[in-house]
Amino acid sequence: MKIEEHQNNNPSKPAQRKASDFKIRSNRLSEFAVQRDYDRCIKCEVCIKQCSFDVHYRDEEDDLIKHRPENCVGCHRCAVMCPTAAISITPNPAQYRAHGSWSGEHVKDINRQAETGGVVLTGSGNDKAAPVYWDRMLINASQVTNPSIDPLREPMELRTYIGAKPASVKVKDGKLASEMPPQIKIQMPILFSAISYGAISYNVQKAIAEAAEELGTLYNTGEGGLHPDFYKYKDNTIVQVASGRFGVHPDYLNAARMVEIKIGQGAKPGIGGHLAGEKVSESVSITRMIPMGTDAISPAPQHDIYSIEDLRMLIFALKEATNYRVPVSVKIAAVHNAAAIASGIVRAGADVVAIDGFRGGTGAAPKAIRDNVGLPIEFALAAVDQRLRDEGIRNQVTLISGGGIRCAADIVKAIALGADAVYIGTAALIAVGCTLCQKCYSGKCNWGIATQNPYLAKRVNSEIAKNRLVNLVQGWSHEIKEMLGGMGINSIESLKGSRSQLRGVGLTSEELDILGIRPAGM
Amino acid sequence: MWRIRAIPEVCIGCGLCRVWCKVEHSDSKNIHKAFKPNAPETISCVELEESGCESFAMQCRQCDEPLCAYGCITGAMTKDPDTGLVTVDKKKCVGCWTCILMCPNGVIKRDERNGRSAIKCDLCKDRGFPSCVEHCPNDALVIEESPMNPLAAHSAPLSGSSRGDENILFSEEVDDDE
Amino acid sequence: MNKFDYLIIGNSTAAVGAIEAIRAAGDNGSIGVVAHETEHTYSRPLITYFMAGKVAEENVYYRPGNFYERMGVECMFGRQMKSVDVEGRSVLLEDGERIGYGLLMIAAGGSPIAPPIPGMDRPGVFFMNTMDDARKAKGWLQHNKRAVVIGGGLTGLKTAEALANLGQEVIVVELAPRVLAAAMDEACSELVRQVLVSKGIEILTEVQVTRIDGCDDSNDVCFATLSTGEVISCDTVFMAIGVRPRIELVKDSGIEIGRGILVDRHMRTNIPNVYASGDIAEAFDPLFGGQRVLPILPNAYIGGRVAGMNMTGKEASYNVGMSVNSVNFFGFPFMSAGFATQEEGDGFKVFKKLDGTNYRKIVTRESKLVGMLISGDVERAGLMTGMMRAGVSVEGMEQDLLDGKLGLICLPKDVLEERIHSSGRNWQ
Repeated sequence: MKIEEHQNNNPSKPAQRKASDFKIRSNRLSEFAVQRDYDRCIKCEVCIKQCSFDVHYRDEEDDLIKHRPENCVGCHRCAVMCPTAAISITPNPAQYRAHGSWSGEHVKDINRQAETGGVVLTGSGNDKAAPVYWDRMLINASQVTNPSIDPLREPMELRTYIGAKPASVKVKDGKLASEMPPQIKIQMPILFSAISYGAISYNVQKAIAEAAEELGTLYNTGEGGLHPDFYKYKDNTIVQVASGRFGVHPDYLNAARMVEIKIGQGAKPGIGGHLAGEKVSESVSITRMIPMGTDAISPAPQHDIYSIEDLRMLIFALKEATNYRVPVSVKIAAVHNAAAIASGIVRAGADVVAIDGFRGGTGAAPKAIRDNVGLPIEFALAAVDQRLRDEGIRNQVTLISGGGIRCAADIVKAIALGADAVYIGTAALIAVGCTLCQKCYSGKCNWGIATQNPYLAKRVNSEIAKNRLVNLVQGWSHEIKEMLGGMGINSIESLKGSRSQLRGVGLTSEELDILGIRPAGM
Repeated sequence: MWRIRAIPEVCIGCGLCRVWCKVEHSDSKNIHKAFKPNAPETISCVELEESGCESFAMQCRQCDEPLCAYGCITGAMTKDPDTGLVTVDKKKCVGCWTCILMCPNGVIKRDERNGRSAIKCDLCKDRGFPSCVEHCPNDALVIEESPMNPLAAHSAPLSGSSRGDENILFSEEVDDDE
Repeated sequence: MNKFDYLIIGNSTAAVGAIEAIRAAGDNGSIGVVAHETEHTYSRPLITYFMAGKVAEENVYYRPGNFYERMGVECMFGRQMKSVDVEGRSVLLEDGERIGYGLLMIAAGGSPIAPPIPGMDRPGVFFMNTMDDARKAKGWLQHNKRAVVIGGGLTGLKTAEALANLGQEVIVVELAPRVLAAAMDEACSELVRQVLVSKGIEILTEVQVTRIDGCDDSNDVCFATLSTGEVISCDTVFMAIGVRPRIELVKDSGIEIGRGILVDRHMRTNIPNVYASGDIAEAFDPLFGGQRVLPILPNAYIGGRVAGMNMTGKEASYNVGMSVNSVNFFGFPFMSAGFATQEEGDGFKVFKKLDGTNYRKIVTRESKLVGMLISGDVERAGLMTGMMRAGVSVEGMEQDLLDGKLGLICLPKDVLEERIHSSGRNWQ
């Protein structure tokens, strides 16, 4: 297997290992159990070749395929690829003694840290059982008094415009006479959120860009710069300007339909990013404009922004750089005082505010941050929308909400809560194959998504991936139309901020107040 | 005519093409039975080529100028003038392996399970669609449909060919084999 | 005078190649085939299999029974060509008939070499060149049991194998120090010898048969006297010393001859409307870098096809006609190609690996593969002939070639692309 070879391409990290690396000091139980039905196993070795974590191996002496469950990350690649469905990956039945306070996860993390002395790293989104408020909100439907609409028979509008809207417009001879701020027309209120090339492979970003092009929506480069090959998708590209400023130059800014300043990310509010040198391949290094094999470190803050005034300077610097041709977005993580911050951002001149909830995904984050910092997007969104309305500035900005949008109903609820559109990231990656094993940071993604290893990255055929993404978004669009029709609404615009279409179940009165919705039954 | 083409850029080297080829060319055509410990040896007509991160699957390209058929000492290997498929007549083949020596892609195998005969990709003609292509998880094998090159028709129709006395007519310019 | 657009002398592989090419090119011109044999086209290498009863008679035929009708060919079998008049564009047959042609292809093959051994004409002495020879021998062997095969070349050894399969006692007599001396090197010859000896075949080398005698009461073969003076009793003798092109057919016709009929890369002779191919032709060998007689079946077919194409006006070149041989003895395979017997020196580099009965040898010249010899594990041997035809550099890959590890993926990118994408038309 050639994986090792390609992971040691970092000149700053010699391949030589210390003797202590060979000592096994782990007290941890395996997280997963690998079960192989030997009656079904045909010893074809597909599982061996497909696992980058070295779980499966052939025992020559016994002429059997065997496994090392301690290496298993639970990505299920082997189980899916096995032609005879001989493998099942299950949680290890051997668990630590049950304890109401000290969960197995705590014990495992403590052991891991006692071994390494480091921060526990993870990938993907928050997997804690914090309440998902989407599931506690229910959507209304028309009965008798206002007829529902059949979207298959009647026109139904999902078209959305991204950009600031003026407080009033002048109309002359039936035509718009006022000059409008830059607007982007997208075919549905769904955008692909920021995932950088570097965090994900070339093929995945290409698939996402092509899907955005085919769907008539936008995708976001993340902070990884824009690969030269992807300039052809510029009409569907949002470029990000993040704290590391990777890949930012005039052509990059001007290639985009929108520029986004990334202040924070829902999965890891308040901290920066770190792309390990192993993932900085030649192509990534060119795209990011950094030396090959060096760690790409995004600082926690934008070092030129310490106030709303500083932010305003950057927003207008970018507007100047792009000749006021494109909207400028500011993305923040959903944090406790998101509403006041959003208000400041709007006043600083942003055309778009993107709010990322604490269930948003990530390529790598300290587990402590991912699971404990931030807010559920539902509250942040409702609070921001309300605050901007109260201040009379809601029209000056497009609100995009992201971080944990899992299905069409989540989108309908987000829009009813006040969003103009949503960002989807994790859902898109799942459509491409991600099984949420949370090992994005390892660079060994068996599904070929979060890796720069050419052997693994080939596993995503961008053509197949693009089709799956297009199918997903089209499927969701159909569902959104069905739900709109059910409410008797024929345009997504009419749902925006229409919280009366939602009712809460099992929520406290404070929660209902913040969400601005009534309890079910009222 | 059909040809199977590999797309190395997306071949993940999993080897499922080989597995399913073996199944299709087994007696039972059942994956469990074909790989049972005591089952007769199974033969894959697909070669999985791997080097470092690169890989692709190679099977017979059903050449327009099939050197295997030209070298065949018995007349068992022929290119069907109607389908373009290069096939081996197991009853005629004596297993001299000249075809193996002639095939520049190395995709003809020895089948010594039941007498000696060459075995090669037959595009799963009994099945209707090549199993390797159908089972490739990443579309790294595709069917390439191309018009039959009339000059390529190796005019050795065995019984069963519908082509009668009238010769293959063509108007298009065809490259020579230089 | 009967006249054909295409007149073909011979009805073996090269003739079939030409006929199929002419018809594939969509040419409906009349085709006549003159052959001295009376058989429908058959596979010459299969006659020993037929004699041994391993291949049924109907499977010896190279093409289906209705082949000539289907191809619209008029057959004149059992008739010998006597001479050709290139000026008058006609061929004279032994029986006196004159046949005109538009284009002529001579594919009359070779005739077996008959050494001047006293007793050659005795009943029980056979050649092994035609179906007729095999049929006659097959009948004879039914009531005989001890055979001497003169010649340890390919035909001789395949004859010996057939005889052993029939339960005969077999003695092979070879003039050279080892069997298959022309096709293989010493190590590989030795492997062949071991296979044959293990099946009870006796092999005598550096010795000749000097006379063949009958018994007192019969004219039939009874003894063979060797050059050593030894006399061995036997009841059958096979002559398998070799074949020479039947160039006597075109003597004094104006058609240029060397060891065979000289042809250019289009398989055309010095006379513009006369072509030749198969065992009678002396054609271009790209590895050898010159012309030579290479009497092997693949080249006969390809040569015939190239001739057929050119005769119909579709330009085609004969560029892939190198020496290739795949043979097995009692199921144990041997393959050779190009300069298989070459040893180190003269600009050649030779790499060998012997592992039990698995032998591999490769020969390179200017870092290109120009020869190979394999026994036993012959899987994917065609990759190497493919590399030889493509002329790719194999520098640094020699050990992998010996280990049988090399695949198409090791080919240079452009060649590999061609292999993956092309429709398989250009094999140079």
